[in-house]
Amino acid sequence: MSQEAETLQELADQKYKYGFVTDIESEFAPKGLSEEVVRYISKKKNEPDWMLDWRLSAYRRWLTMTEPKWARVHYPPIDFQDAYYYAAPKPKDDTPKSLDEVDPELLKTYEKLGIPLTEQKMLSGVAVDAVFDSVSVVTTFKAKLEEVGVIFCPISEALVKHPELVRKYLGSVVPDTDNFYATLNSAVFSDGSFVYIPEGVRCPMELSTYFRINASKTGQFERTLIIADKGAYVSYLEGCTAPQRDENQLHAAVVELVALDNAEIKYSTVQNWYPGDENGRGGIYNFVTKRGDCRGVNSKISWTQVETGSAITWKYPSCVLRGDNSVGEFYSIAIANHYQQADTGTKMIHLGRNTKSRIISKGISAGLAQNTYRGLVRVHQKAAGARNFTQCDSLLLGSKCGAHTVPYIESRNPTAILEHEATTSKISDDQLFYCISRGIDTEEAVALIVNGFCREVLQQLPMEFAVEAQKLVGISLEGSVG
Amino acid sequence: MSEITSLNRLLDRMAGFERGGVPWLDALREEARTLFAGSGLPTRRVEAWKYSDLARALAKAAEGSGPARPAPEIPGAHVALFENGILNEGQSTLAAIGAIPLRQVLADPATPFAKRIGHVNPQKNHALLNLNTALMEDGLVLHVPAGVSLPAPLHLRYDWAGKEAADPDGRHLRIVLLLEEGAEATVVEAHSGSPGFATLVNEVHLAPKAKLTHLRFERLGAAARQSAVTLGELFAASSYKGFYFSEGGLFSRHEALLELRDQEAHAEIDGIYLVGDGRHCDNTTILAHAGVNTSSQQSFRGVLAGDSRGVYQGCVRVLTDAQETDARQMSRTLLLSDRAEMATKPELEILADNVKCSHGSTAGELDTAALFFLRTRGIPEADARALLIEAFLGEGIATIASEPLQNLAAGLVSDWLAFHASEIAHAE
Amino acid sequence: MSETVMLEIEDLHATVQGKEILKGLSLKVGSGEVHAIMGPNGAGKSTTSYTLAGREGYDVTSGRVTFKGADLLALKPEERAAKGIFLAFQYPLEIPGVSTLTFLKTAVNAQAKLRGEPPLDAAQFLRVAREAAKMLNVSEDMLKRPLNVGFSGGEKKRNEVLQMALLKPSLAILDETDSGLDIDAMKLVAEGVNALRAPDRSFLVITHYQRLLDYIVPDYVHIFADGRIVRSGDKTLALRLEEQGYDALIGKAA
Repeated sequence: MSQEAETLQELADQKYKYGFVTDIESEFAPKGLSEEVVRYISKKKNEPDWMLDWRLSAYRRWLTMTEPKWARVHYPPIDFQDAYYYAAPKPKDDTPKSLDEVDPELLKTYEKLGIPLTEQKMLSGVAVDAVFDSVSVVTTFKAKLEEVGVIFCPISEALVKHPELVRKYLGSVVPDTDNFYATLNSAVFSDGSFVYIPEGVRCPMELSTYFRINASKTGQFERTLIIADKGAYVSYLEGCTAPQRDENQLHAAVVELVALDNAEIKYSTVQNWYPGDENGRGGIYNFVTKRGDCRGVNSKISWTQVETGSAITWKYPSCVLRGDNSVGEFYSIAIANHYQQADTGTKMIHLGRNTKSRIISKGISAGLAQNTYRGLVRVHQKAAGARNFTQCDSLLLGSKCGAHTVPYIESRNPTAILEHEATTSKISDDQLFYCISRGIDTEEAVALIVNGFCREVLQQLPMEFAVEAQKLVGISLEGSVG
Repeated sequence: MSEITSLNRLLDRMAGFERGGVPWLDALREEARTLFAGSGLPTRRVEAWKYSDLARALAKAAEGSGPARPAPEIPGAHVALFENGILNEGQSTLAAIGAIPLRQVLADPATPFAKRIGHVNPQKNHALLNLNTALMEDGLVLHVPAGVSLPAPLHLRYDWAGKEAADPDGRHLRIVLLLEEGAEATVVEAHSGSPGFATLVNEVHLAPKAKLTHLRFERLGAAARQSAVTLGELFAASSYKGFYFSEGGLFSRHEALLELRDQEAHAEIDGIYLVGDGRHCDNTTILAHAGVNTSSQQSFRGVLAGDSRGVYQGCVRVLTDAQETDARQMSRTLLLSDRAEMATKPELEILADNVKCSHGSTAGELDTAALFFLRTRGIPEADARALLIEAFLGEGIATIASEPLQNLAAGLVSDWLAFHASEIAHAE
Repeated sequence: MSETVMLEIEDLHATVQGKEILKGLSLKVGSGEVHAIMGPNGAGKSTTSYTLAGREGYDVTSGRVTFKGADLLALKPEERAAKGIFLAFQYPLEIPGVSTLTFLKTAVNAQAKLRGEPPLDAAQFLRVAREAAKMLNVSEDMLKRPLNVGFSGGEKKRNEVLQMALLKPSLAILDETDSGLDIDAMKLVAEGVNALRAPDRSFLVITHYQRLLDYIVPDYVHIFADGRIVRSGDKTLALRLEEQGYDALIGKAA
């Protein structure tokens, strides 16, 4: 092994630094999945009857469905009865009303993750909803947001306080019949964030949810619903980590975004679930359904994701461009190392006139990993003047990994212009040598080049996330050039 | 009213075929029949057939075929004439180049070609190949010995006409092209008329340094249902150069499944397709790079008019040890009508790291700025549109090395444009 | 003003994507005259040339344009060309797959056909084209290459003048012909244009800078601002403009 390769391998083997477990007493739903468990979750949340019916109907449908097999990911069959569908830190009395009542162990946990929840310590301008296993433990800056009419709270709370909004929009983008994992989520989702930005309001701060899986043998099924009313704007960030365990844990989330006339939603994710160890043991199965509906004219939904974690990633944040002149964007960095498998991409469905979409995907494969971009651009007959530009680049670091590009491009309108470009290459020896000859050491040179490769996507992230993501990209990638 | 294709009849026919008394062939047919019985005809549920529903096309009774357009002539070529899928030996000049009718080879228990037929870049789960293997009757085997270069092209002429052509259970043809070390040949397919259901499989074995130029001119009728596959195995420093012209049909598909097995093998495919109202045209390629330093280049250009559907699925697969692969792929489509539909799936599957692979794809209408520019120079809109379409396709045609064949392709394009003038010109 | 009016624009209003760009443009161009139109960016200079040539998306909302006695706005772009309008593009289009020679021949014969004249045969055309090309320093190689593909800025503009020479228009509109050209290339283009000056041929020279007018000397200079002509004069107006700038002159006019 060359000296370069060695340095890189060292870096690649850097330990997952969020792998600790918080020792906290939890209460669980009975193990396994049944109507009783669905009822248990609904009861825990004090949900209205219609919500329970919705869950039960999803559960019954789920029983008839089979797991999707088309993605390029391989894993042993999942025993859906061998997991807990609800786990919550045991409350001292009831759900905490203020930070003072939150278990200090939890606050410590988030502090350790770099997400201090006490408002005075927080990054200014970011409001956080912290979801720990199945429940939201605290939401910060709620009062400040309420002043401008922004609702930002756990979805369980929204179901109680704003049932009319939840009922109107829940399942309107990702129906409970959508796919195996989304349907499962509809039956058992336990918490997640709810955001409503009223007409004409530009949300005064970044909103953020931080997801943490802690308990063993537990699946996380959160549900996020964001509605930007006419002329509203919101930027939303999502982060995720989990302890290091030998078992595979399932995370099957659903995110629904609705943008009405002239509204804009920017949704950023830094996904750093535990990826498993270097031998492929453990790690999260990240099977997520994310979809945005540009329901109004001139609306815009922009997805940015940095996917570095999880043993398996299966997610396709998509945009339905229904309103005339609406815009969908997807910016993605997906990194797969060791035995990780990533099958991710997007769908851009052009329904309205003069709708535009842009897809920039950067895939990086290292170790024995398989990384697939899978995307669909579909222009319907009535989408006159639609435009799409897609750029998919893959970088291979090492000779045992794979990079795959599977775009589906369907046009049914002659005035639509669709352009797609893709490249696959390895990191350039010439570039590396050039940097090294200028005195930059190998690991830094790789970080530099790889960050350059991802630049277009990193630029899309809000400042608070960009720095963290850049470091993460550096660490995950540098270690693997052979 | 004509009958429709029946799976049961096909299977019955297959069972009869595999008791022909030629052991190597019976075994080959039996395996193919068993696999086909399991899969049936491909439907859209099969990923590779997502955009082309053969089962559905065959379930419809074929309508009138319309006026047949004459098959192109290839001056100076040796001809193999297939009338409604049956070789007309009297009208063919096979002996001059050592081509042997397939029937003769299939009847020979000791044929040296047994090790090739059904074994070139095999695809076990390909329903259509299995169907063809189980039922193939006509075709030919062309064996070009080492170092020999065929002086004139082989013209494979497929004419379909009359009641015979419409057989719903199909005619299943197999062409086996074996080029030994350093051998060179040009093979030109020309299709005309409307087969009720035809499958055609080309098996191409290129020994080291062999060179094959393979041109396909598909000028099928509106009722034609044809699915063709070219299987290829390319050994060291061999070269396959394909040019595919197609006007589509009720159902028309061609798959090029090539394995670049050894170092420095090279494949180049240029395709142009012009698809008129009510037609379907599918170009599918899977180029598997297995050897080091292999290269491939694909460029497809399509024009879709009326209520038509075009499909391009191009997969470049680079296997683990195929270092220094250079693979490029391009698909461009012009949609001339708001009822036309294009589905493109350019796919990269890369398992080696030292590679250069790229694909690009565009779909859209004619460049309005170029159209305006031409009109300001006094060229009427309809002519300007035709000129731009010809220019768009011309870059593909320019890749044909032989001048007469290049002219032939250009002629077919002009012909199509003239025939479809009203579909091309935008009504003011 | 010469006795015969070639082009008359009367109170022309035009919109692009719903936005009004031309706001009451009036101009008369007599036979054989050279008119220069100068103005700041965004004044509507290029919109004027595209509207006269008939580009889609440039919608005339009111006003009239009479060219050689006919209603120009009623004609398609190719009919305008056949009638004698020629637009030299600011950014000539690249058309891959069409050789320059094929393009020229198609255009010359299409116009002949629209005018009811007999087409040139291949040999006649080649002779005429080569002659014109030689004069403009357009090489044989350039004639064979796809139209404008890989041409330098100067080559593209020479190619525009070559088309003008072969198509023999009555009114040539030169849209920022000097943009992107160095001084030598500009001189060459100007010489080509000057050689084509004739009593029955008029020019509308649209330019941002005065320097082109040192080489193509205009009879009239018009200053364009906010969609119409705000000041007209002889060639000295261009010189004053160069000295004082648009603001000063337009300010005075307003």
